[in-house]
Amino acid sequence: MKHGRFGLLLFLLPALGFAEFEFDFDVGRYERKPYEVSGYLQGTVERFLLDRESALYALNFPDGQRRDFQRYRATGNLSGLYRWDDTTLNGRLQAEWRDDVFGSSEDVTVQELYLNHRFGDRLSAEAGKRTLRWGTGYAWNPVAFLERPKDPTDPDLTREGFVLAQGEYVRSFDGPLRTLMVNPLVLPVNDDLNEDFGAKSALNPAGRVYLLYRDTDIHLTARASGSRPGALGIALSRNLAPHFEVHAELAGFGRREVTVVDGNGTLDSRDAQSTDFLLGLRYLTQGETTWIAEYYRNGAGYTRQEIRNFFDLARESGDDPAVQRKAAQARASGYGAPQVMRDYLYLRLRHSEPWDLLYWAVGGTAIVNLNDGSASLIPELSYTGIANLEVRARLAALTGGRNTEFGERQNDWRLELRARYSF
Amino acid sequence: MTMTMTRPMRTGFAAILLLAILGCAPLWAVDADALLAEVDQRMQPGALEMYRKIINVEPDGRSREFVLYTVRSGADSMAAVFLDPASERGRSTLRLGENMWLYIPDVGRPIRITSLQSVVGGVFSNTDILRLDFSVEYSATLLEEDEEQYVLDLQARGPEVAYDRLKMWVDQQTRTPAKIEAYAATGLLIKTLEYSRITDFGDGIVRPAMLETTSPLQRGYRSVMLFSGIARRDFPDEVFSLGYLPRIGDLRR
Repeated sequence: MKHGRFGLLLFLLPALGFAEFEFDFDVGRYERKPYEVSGYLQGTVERFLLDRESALYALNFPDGQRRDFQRYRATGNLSGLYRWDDTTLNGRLQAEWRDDVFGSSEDVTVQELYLNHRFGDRLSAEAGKRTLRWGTGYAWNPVAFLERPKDPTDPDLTREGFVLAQGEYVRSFDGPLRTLMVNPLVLPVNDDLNEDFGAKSALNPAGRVYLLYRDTDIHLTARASGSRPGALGIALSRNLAPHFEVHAELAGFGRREVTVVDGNGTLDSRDAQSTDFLLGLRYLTQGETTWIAEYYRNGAGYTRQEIRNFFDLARESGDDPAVQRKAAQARASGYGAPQVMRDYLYLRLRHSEPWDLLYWAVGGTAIVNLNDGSASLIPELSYTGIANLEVRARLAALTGGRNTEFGERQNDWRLELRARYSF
Repeated sequence: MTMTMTRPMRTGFAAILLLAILGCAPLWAVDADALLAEVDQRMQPGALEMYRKIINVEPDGRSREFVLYTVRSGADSMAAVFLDPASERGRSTLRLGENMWLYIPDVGRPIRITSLQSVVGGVFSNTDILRLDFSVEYSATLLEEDEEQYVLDLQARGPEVAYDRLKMWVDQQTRTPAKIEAYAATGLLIKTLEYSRITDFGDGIVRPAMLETTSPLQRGYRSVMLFSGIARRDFPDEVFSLGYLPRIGDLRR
């Protein structure tokens, strides 16, 4: 009898395995609705181990007492759209609460809120607050003339846009030129609008032309001189093989100035080099590991002497509040940007399910300053075994000697644990 | 009287015989490329829209589901948007020939992806999810046939095609594929795809509603694709452009 039950169980097992699938596929659930809402809730805990010998530690912790600290962040990001006829209202709101050694703060930001109207299949127009993403690079985009700075350690994070009005005209063709898209826009700046784009009031006309020509993405971008210097750019991307993509960006700027600290610790300005460029590739190995490598030339970057002058000023901050104010001003004027020097190498790799560990992924990012040899190394581990939940752990370790970019940052390392639930 | 053939006569006779055989060949042989084109026509008949559910069954028995809305036009234009799960919702993919892009709402711009990657994990690659007509990417030869099926050998037309060689079993009655084996250029079997559940979707579309795939490279994994709501529908070419990617979901009815 026992054997009989066992046999029956063996007979039914394949059927039980199949029964887990939902073979009735109800598409009615997925028909278009007038509105859509989605978003995520995210909690982040970070622990910082401080480098008490570094220049930026002296600037941020003048009393020199603290060795480490924690930061807690709770973030909510809500996206929505409402459709009627050929018009759509789109919005994205982000709220964040943060608590660390510097105090607690809350911030609610309307990252995007704009109306889009379609005039047929080829022409559309939109107006409102909009985040543009121009370029083909992953960590940096020299041709992104109308965007807020990207964090190369987390390039996929949402960012706040600017208020603008733009049109889009698209044509498709048979032949070597498959697609042509023309995208003119204005980004007005005055005392009440986009004041953080530039100090000078201007209409700031700009535009982009996109071509898919002989299987190559070609983006031509331009920004007229106004609140910021005029700029022209070209970005390219192409698959050389099914598993191998290459991309490049080149941007030329009109006269642009950078604020520098001179040998006497005084803030001064000088003209920056006129071009930035980027070369990159994305490669998928047979073992399903994705590699991204990019070289970035920042024409507006500081020389080793200019960054050394800033670090000297920062180190003297602890002794004199006036020097601290000057160093803080230098940081706000350019020295606090994510990458402030001239030549960088970016490497990222990601491998899903290492050693057959289901739902796990390992990876890492390295940002190397080629001018001084310092680097930021960020190994990471993520788990997605629970529906709509992603848990990620990262360790950001900074390496480099005295007067190097990453060596003089306030941390020795930072450990981050993040959980994101999507809905 | 004995009739003898001279050497030139024998050569001429052989040539005539050969020409006759070659000339008559199409009368009985299956034109493999024409058969492949017919398979394409039955599987993806011109411009259409469809819904698909992808179920990835993991080695531990757990499963993950993805729902996509897909539109297609011409021989090499296809776009799809994820409707489920919430963590993937709004992600869109576009294929124009061998070019593929992925649009992620948070990232806000399309990035080029490779055809061998998988945007859903599991055994289905991007090439399986955004499949063009077989006849666009492969030239066919008939390997064998019996009363129930034809077996075709498909050779990639260029190096940019994801799988170098396919072996396809075609059902004689429905002229749809029953099974496909995908091979790398080295001869390594990459995956096996099996079609089932022949369904009448209306408007003359009769084709399998289920595709199941396994791979010797991903032992223990199984992926299933269910098809629903397949309907003929024309779309303007401009729908298949990078600017339209964030709005593919608006095409649903």
